[in-house]
Amino acid sequence: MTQSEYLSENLLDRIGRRAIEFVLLAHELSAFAVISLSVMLRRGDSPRRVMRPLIRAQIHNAGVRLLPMVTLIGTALGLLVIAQTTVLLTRLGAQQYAGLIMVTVVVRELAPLLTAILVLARAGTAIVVELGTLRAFGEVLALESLGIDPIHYLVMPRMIGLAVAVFCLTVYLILTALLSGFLFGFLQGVVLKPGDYVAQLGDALLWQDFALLGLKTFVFGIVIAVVTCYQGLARPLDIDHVAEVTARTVVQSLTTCVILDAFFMVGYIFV
Amino acid sequence: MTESAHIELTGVEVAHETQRTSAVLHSVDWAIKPGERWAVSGKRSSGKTSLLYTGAGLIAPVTGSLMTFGQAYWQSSEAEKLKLGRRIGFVFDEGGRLFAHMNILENLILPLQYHTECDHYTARQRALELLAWVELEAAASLAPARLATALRRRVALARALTQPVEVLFLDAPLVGLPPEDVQWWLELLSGLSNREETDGGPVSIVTSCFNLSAWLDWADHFAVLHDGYLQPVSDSEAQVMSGPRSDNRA
Repeated sequence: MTQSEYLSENLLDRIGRRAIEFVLLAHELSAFAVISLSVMLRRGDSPRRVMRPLIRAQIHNAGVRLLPMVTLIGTALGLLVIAQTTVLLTRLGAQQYAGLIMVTVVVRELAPLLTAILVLARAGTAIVVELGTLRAFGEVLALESLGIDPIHYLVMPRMIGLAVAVFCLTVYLILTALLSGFLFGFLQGVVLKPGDYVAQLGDALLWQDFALLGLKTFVFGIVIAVVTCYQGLARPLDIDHVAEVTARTVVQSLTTCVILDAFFMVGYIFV
Repeated sequence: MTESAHIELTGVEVAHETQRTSAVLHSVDWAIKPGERWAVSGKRSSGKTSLLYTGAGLIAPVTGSLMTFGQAYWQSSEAEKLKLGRRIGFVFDEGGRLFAHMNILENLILPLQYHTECDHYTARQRALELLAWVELEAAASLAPARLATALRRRVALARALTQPVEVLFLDAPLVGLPPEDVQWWLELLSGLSNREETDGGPVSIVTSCFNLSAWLDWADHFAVLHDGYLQPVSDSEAQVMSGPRSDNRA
């Protein structure tokens, strides 16, 4: 066997192994998602006295605590995308398209994905470590010994919390970006009245945009919760593997969100 | 006779507690009947914890069947498993695996409220009663980490009894305890074993240990784990195997 044949076979082996690992992981994640969703639908927030505070805590952790960061990112987004675009459009005399571009770029694409990345970085990684530690110290088995379903008690509040957080933060990010963009444009001498700007946004927004925004953010939140909870609970987390597992979780969550985003875009075009 | 068993393992290959596909104990046939007191002895890594986990339905056997209160446990629906599981208590080894992010009282309130949806006041009162029963009422507001390991095990016992337990598994509960604490545990467990019907009825108790000596006067059934098999032993055999009474490694 020549060296090139050996290398190509080795490469094929690796690609094949990676492909099989990917399929197995996708299968396990899908199964975990189905089980978690069925538990969520079947048992909901009952018993309320226990579950509601947990859900509220997750919304606070993944949502409220991210407000300062989202404000900063939203303001920067307004400056980078909206103000620049508005200035350019004004130079070209095409201010009437400002609203359309804002809606296309910010509302449909950037805001949901950017918010998902922020929630993943801030809350998702913490979930992996938190659940991995619970598993390592045997607390998950202790829950089971008390007849408490870990999927219901640990995963369900995080799924609801992250879905609500991604949705609310996305709406907040959009509002912040649109407002800051207009203010930056105004400071740079762009002649665009607030009323015209809002009217342009209103004209550019379709009912599909609202539906897509709701659906996309909900799905992104669920995806982040499922992947992070799966990685946290799948096996006891060894302190040496925390960094590796967390990095892997970020890559898996992000890849899934981007792939789903592409599907949403294709679906939007055909609706 | 076997129909009346609370827990019955038949032809079970007991899975390792962490590597669930490999068997650590083979061909286990074991029945735990109402009111029985079992002491199961074995060396380190002999499979004591795995056996208790399997009996309590916490890990699935590699092969074989587990009947819990007359029902095939692993063939039951999730809701049925939950109901059956509440009738089985488990006290884990070492510090009892308390929930580290809650204080002692909250550790007891959680299972009470989760299953009964009672209000916080009622759950708190019941939790305090149980803590008083294990003589740890004063530690209610402490974090588990601030309690000694042996005392955490007491809290774990109280937490297990927040449920309507009919069978109680204890994983090496006497390890590292001074003689007066050993006596305290034995008396408490005797009380549970002879519990009145009005208080929930007698509890079948299964405990694991490294040496049977502390349990000779307490247990009425003995078994030893040796070379991957569970071997029931008579009282006299248990006395011989446990060695001198002074060797109390529990």
